[in-house]
This record gives sequence, structure tokens and C-alpha cells, in this order.
Amino acid sequence: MTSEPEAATDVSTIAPPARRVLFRKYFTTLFIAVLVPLLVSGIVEAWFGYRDQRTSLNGLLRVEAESAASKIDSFIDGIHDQMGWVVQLPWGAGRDERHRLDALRLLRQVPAINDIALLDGGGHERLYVSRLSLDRVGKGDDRSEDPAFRGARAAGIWYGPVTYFRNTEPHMSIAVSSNRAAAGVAVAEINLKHVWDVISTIHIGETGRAFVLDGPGRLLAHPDISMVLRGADHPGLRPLQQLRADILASGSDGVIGRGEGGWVMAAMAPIADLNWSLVVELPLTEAFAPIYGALWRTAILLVLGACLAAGLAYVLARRAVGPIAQLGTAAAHIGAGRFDHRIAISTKDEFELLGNAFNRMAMELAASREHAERIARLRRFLAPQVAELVDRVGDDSMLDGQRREIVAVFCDLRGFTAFAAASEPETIMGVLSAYHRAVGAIIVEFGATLTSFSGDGMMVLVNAPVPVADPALHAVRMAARMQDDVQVLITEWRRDGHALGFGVGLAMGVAIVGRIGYEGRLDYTAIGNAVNLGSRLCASAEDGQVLVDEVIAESIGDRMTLMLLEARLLKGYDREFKVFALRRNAEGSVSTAST
Amino acid sequence: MRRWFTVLLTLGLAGTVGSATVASAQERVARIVYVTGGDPATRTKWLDQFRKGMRELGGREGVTYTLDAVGAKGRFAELPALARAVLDRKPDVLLVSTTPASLAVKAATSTVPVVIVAVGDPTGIGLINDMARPGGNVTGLSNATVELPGKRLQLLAELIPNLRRVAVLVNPDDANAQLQIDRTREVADRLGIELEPIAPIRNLAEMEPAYQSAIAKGAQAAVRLTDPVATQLRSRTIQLASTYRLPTIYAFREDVDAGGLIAYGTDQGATYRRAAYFVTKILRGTPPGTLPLEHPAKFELLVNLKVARELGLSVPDSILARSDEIVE
Repeated sequence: MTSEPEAATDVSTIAPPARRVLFRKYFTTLFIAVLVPLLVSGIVEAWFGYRDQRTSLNGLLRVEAESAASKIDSFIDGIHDQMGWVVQLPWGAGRDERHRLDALRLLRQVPAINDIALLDGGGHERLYVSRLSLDRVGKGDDRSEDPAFRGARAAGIWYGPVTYFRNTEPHMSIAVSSNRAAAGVAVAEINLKHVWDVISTIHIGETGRAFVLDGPGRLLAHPDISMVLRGADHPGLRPLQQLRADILASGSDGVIGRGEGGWVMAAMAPIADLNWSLVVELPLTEAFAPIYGALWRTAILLVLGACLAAGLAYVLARRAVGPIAQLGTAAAHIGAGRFDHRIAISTKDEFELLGNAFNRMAMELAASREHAERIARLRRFLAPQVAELVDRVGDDSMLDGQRREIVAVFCDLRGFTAFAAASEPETIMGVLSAYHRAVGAIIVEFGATLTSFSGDGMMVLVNAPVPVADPALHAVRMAARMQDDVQVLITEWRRDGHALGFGVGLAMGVAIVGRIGYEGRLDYTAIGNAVNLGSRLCASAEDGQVLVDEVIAESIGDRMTLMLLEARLLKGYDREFKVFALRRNAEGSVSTAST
Repeated sequence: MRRWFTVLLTLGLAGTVGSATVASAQERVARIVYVTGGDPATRTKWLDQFRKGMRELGGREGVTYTLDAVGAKGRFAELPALARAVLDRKPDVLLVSTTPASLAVKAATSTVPVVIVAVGDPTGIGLINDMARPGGNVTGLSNATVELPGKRLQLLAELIPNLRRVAVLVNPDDANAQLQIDRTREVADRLGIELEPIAPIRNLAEMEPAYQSAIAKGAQAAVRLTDPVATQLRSRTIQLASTYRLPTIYAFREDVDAGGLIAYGTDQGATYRRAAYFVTKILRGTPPGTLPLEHPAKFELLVNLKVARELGLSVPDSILARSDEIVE
């Protein structure tokens, strides 16, 4: 059993860690129970969403790119269609003014044209009108070797290379030839900034956009005109060029790549006549918004799940820890031997059952300890067998007062008073202890009950509290053994010069048996005529004699040899009693003198 | 066990916090100050166009930005002090119109972003070096006033037969005055036209003498060059042109609307509206030096036939054919 301070530390160390550990365990379990299904469904949803979205976006962006490319195409087509008007009429006398008006009207009609030169069939410049520079009228330079003239003559339409005016504005020449050689060729300078009017109206989704790169990868049109005006070799264009390269390399409809403003999904359509590429890009944030949505939902649910799990874990841990702490405290208290400690748990679950079990255990422990203490007390006057019996039965009610037929056996040493007076205390104690040892051993052997002894006198009960079969015979045999064994001692004592003898008296009859005394000093005894008679018979017995009363003698009959002595008057009685003595055999023993 | 617990918990919490921090950067009210060498009161129509541009880009005056306008009203000597006073107001962006004002502001700050609008020749006056990559703190729009006087002279020659002598009405205090005169003279030489006189107009008082001198010198027509004061002197200019019967070509549609004969130039309103794009980009964090300057791509020709009739001029088809707007 632990001492009290230790018990106190036990109580304090059980409860607090329990809460943290339990909380973590509950939380982890609950969280995983929530997390795993959520994650799986979220990932599955996102994966299939991604595949579907990717497929549909591939097609969509391709269509968008083609439609945007056709818009750019028709913008350029519009310009050279309009230019066709100024090369309808042949050159000739008096027609110059007519051509000039056509050219001026064209300038007004097509804002993208910065200036236009009209060459006659021979390649000579006949007219030049411009928005900024000075107009020229009349036969001018021979431009028949110009690539523009030759190109237009050969193919009807000629597109010049893109140049950057003031290093910032992309310009391009377009030359258009009439199918009649005499009508000549119109060469116009186009300010490609005006493509912005078209490109800025092209919307790809909510945040996507389209842009145009020429063959070498220079940016010609972009909704953010500043991008275009930064010039041909600005490092900011590399992501756009890379995007186009990625699309060309993959050969598929669309690619995911890094655009100028972040990750995008992009597709491309060629503007074939010009060797330009129209690229459409859609930021991934928009392209995969539904998937991001699904991921966000999953994330939010995870957070909610975590909160829920934490809340539940907290509540559960709180509910578990209180009772556990109580149980721990109770265990410590019981360990310290305080069986009156009680647990009050009313959670209506296993904890309450456990608490009740604890309480029962404490009660039973208390009862058990009380019982053990009582048995320990009983052992003092009960024969070991009796004590065991009481112990085994777990009930000492057999010791309660009751009427019972008993045999009271008394014995004492003859001449002890004189011996005690003449001898040293050590000698007396040596004699007494040898005597007690011998008699005690026989009492134990026969399962009799030593109720009291004082000096050399002893009172022994047979058939109470432990019943025996045939108590009279049993008691007489015991008495005979006592006489025999003590006589051996007496022989030794006489050799030492001590004049001692030993007498036994027995009487049987109904008596009241039970405990007497008070708390702390309890005895077991018998009260009745047999006790008195037994005592008197012992007193009247001579050394070596075992005297029994008439009741015993009748009960034994002829199973042992008894001699009827002459009736004698016993002290305290007013009548004579028949007294029988156990007869000795040839060797002088009484115990084996049975017939 | 403990580590897992922590990982799970942070995993859950990290998601909620992440999204919230991204959004709120430019929510405060941006202070925009408009600075001109002229009179801001005569430019309200253009500033309204700027406000319209801001609105189209999501700006709301008083909520996302405030716009104050100040001007030297032609007293260019006051511009450096004005620029310093404006900078004391801690503007987020300066919207600067006219060449003298842009030079004064440029001298006063090299850090506060400046968006120029209606500046004739930003490279010619040394405001910036590279249109495509201006660097520094200045970007914006040119209005090509320096490039166009030659073209205007040609149009004048087309309108008036046998044009030999043309008066130039110019404010010599404007930093780009000489650039405009040189450009005009270049074309005049090629067309065989004499520029006489070069009449200075710095203020209202010098107007009438300028016209008187033009008539005295036998000028058949006049080219009105632009300067910050021209806007506030517009109605007087047109009135005198009518009084002295001097055909005059102007730079802006407002001149024709007010009764001027003919104008060739850019749409100032559109330029102001476009300036909102630069301001918005800068307010959202783009360094001004990375925004290329924009050169006008649209030029408009307007003719007032009524004024032409009053002056006894018949407008030739070539003018009518290229006119964007003809006022009857």
C-alpha cells in the first residue's frame, strides 16, 4: 500500500496529460474520418473537372483564335479592298486630279493608312498624299524596281515587312495592283497601331485576350497598346514568343504556358497571307475556375471539418477526462487505504458503470479488510481449524451465542502451587511452556477450542463452535492423549526433583456457547452445568486420572474401558455424582486402553 | 503524433488566411493634380474627357481618385513656383499639359510620376529621349503640334490660290515655338511661300497689333501656332481673323466650332481621355518609365464653309474630300 504523499502525486499526474493526449487522439481520429473522404472526393472532382475543362477549352480557344484571326484578316482585307478603288482608272491626260481625290478620300475612309503613293503602269510615282508629310503631285521618282511595285505586279497584293516608326509604332506597307497594267499600283503605309481597334474588342472569356505576332516574333497587336509600342526587341515579349513556340512545338490545340501576366492556356491560329500568328490566351485562374472552385470548396470543408473535429474532440475529451480524473483520484485514495472514498459519475455510460464498479470494489475491499481483522482477532482463541472455517465461510455468526451440547474438558497440574513457590521463575516458565506446548498440540490436533487458561489450568471445549461427530468419544480420546503426553513430561520433571502430577476432568451437557467480553478483548466460552461439573471432576482427579461424568460414560458405552468409581460429593453440588475413570492398560497408558 | 496534429491543423487554417491578404492594395484615394501653362478654366471640356476615361477604367472621382487643376494662365515665369506648390500637395500622379508646364514639372521632380498630355514634341524639347522606353518619371501622349504646321501650311496653300505670303501667329515664350516656326518655314521654302510677319502673341494685348502687322505686311493668310495661351485667346483670335478678313488655319476642332475657318490636328479630347489609361496604369503600380509614349494616330481636318464664304473663298474638292467634318 502506498503512503499518503505518494498517493497525492498519483492523483495529480493522472489527469492533465490525459486531456491533451485524449484530445489529440480524438481530434486525429475524427479529422481523418472527415479528411479522407473529403480529399478523395475533392481530388476526383478536380481531376475529372480538369480533363473535361481542358478538352472543352482546347476546342473553344481554337475556335476563338480562328475567329479572332479572321477579324484581323478582314481588317487587312478591308484596307486593300479599299485601296483597290484607287487603282481602277488608268493614268492619262487630265486624270491626275481624279486620282488625287480618290487617294484623299481613301485617306479619309481608312484611318490606318498614313500615306499612299500611286505609281503608274511604268512604275513612276504620280501621286503621294500623306497625313503628316507634304503631298506630292505629278510625275516623280521611278519606283519600278521597288519590291512593292514588283510584288504587287506579280501577285496583285504585296505585304511589306513590319518596320517600327520612331522605334515604337509598327508600320507595314501594302501594295495593291490593278489587273489592268495601265492603272498602276497603290502603295500605302499602314500604321498597325490601328489593329488595336480590332484586337481590343476581342474578348476571350472574361480575362483572356488575343495578340498578334509576326513571323520573327515581333508583337504587332495587343489589347495593351503599351506592349506593342515598347518596340520590336523588348525583353517583355519573350513570354509571348515562348508561348507561340510552345504551341508550335506541341502541335496540339492548346498549351498551358507562362504568359506575360502569369500562367495561361493558349491556342493559336495563323493569319496565313501575312505569316502572322494570332494567339489567344486565357489565364488559368479563369480557365480552371470551376476546378479552383472545387478545390476551394474542399479546402473550406476541410477547415470546417477540422473545426468540427476539434470541437467534438474537445467535448469528448472533456467528458472523458473528468471521470478519468475521478477514477484516478479514487484509485489513489483506495491505494492509500481510504476505502470510504466514493466516486460520483453520472454520465450514463460506461464511465458511470466503471465508477459504480469502483465504488463496489471500495466497499468490498473495506468489508474484506474488516473481515480479515475480525478473523485475526478470532484466531487468538479459536483453533486454527475453527479460524480457517470462519474464514472460509466468511461468516462468524457460528460464534454467536447458542445452546449446544458440549464437552467441557478441564485439566491442571497437581502440586504446582508448591512447586511454584519453591522454584526459580525460569524453571517455572520452562515447565509451563513445555506443558502448554504438549497440551496445545493435542488441542489443535483434535480441533478443540481452548477457551481459557490461567497458569497450569486449562478449559477446552469440544463440539463448539466446530461440531464433531460423537463428541464424548472424541473428548475422551483427547483427554487420554493429554494424560499420556503430560505423564511423559512428569516423569522428566520428577527426575529433576519436581513433585508434579496431572489430572483431567470431562463433563458433557447442554450449555450456552458464544463470544463474551467487549470490543478489543473478546473470548469464546461456554456456560452451563457441564462446565461446572467438568471443572469439579478435574479438581477431584488424582495424578494420572481422567475422570468423566455419567453422561459421557453412557455416551461411550463399552467403546472404551471406564471404571465406575464410588459416588462422590462434589463441591458446589448438594448431591452425589457417579464418576468414571478411564482405565489404564498394562503399560500405564490411558489413551490405548480401549476395548 | 504531435507533429501530425500540428500539420493537420495548419493545413486547415492556412487555406482560409491565404485568400484574404491578396486583395487590398490600392484602395486609398489617389491624388491627381492637373497642371497647365494655360488656364484650367478653358480646359474643363478636355478634363471631362479625362474623367470619362477614368470612369471607363473603373475609377470614380472622390472615391478612388481626386482631381485638382491648376494653371499659370500664360504667366510661364510662375510655373516653377507652381510646380513646387503642386508637389507640396503630395500628388500620386501629375497630369501635365502644355510644353512649358511639362518642362517646369520635369525640373521640379524626378520621382513623382508625370503623365503628359498635349505636349507638342516631347523628344524635341528634351523632355524624354526615347518614345518606346522613356525611363524616368515621365510618360504620356504627344499631340504632334510640332509636326503638323507644315501640313497646315500646305492645306492653306490649297485653299487659297496663289498664296505667297503668310503670317505666323506665335507665342515666342513657349518652349516649342521655335520648333514650330522652323517646321513651318521648312515647308514654306519648298512651297515658295514667304513667312511674314512672325507676329508674337503672348497675351490678349498683343493680339490686335499682331493682326495689324500681318495686314500691314501684306500677308494673305495666317497660321495660328499652338501655345498654352492660345486656348484662352481663341474667341478673340477668331474674332480678329474675321475683322481683318485674314484666312487663318488652326490646330483644333474647337477653333472651327468657335467660328474658325479651318483646322487640322489631333482630337485633344481623345488625347485627354487616353491619358486616363496612363494614370490608371501608374496608380496600379506600373513604373511610368516602362510605358511608351503614344503618338497620335488620328488627325482630323475640319472646314467651316460659312466662314469661307464670308471670306470669299471657294473650298476646293481636294479639301472637301479629305475633311472629316464640314461645318455649313
